[in-house]
Amino acid sequence: MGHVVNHVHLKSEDPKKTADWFVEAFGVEIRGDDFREAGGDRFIRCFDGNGFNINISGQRVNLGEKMEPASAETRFGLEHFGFDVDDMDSEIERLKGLGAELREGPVEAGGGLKIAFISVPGPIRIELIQRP
Amino acid sequence: MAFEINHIHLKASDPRRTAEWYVRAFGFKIMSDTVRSFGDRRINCMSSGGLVVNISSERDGEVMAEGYAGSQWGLEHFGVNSDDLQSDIERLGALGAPLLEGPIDIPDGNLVAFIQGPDDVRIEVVQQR
Repeated sequence: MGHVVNHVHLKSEDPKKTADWFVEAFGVEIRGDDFREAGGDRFIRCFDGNGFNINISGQRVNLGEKMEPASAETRFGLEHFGFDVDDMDSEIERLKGLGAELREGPVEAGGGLKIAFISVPGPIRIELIQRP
Repeated sequence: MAFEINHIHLKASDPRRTAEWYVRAFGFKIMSDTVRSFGDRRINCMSSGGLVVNISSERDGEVMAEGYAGSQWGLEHFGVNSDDLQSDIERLGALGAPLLEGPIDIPDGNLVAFIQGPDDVRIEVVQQR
């Protein structure tokens, strides 16, 4: 099996609301919505168009989990993830209509690649990528 | 049609060093290593399973906050599969990635642990069952 990257994980005070946002914004599919006894957290399993897993869950209150604030700013470590888009300008407008904020771009990133960064509810930093 | 995740992105002051850690730790392949017009060195990696992981330094004039490997709202961690969690925890510890939490035996679920990778990245190591 090897060390396959298995998922990215978002934490939210309201995981269902966040998951529903990603359903509307990026068409992810919700395939699981469970309450986990051990952590006391709601755990929602979503999948992107390629079958890649995005988990969205709440605070593990039963484990005394303490949460630091989210950040959509530039930072070291795990900073953002990116979605492919077909039409950058119209997607930015559509996502702004859903509450996203444009943070950077769109800019040409070389080789005809167009990129932009948005902040989505969380806040979470997301890159949009339009390939040539 | 659902959108597809293009990549996940890690930022590092020494992206080559971080990328080489992921090569050793999780068998990533380095596909390219370039300095971009934004002034950053960007290393494009392919993880096992095909997800692209980009690792880059700060861009010209970019102000960076510190990474954080604890629990946090928003984008918190990513998960990597393991065939043998206990031996991987020891192997990754020897590579400089301390155990943060676990192993946790999730009832009716997986055996998981959280480690602290380079640049204060929280990584879940997942032994699927």
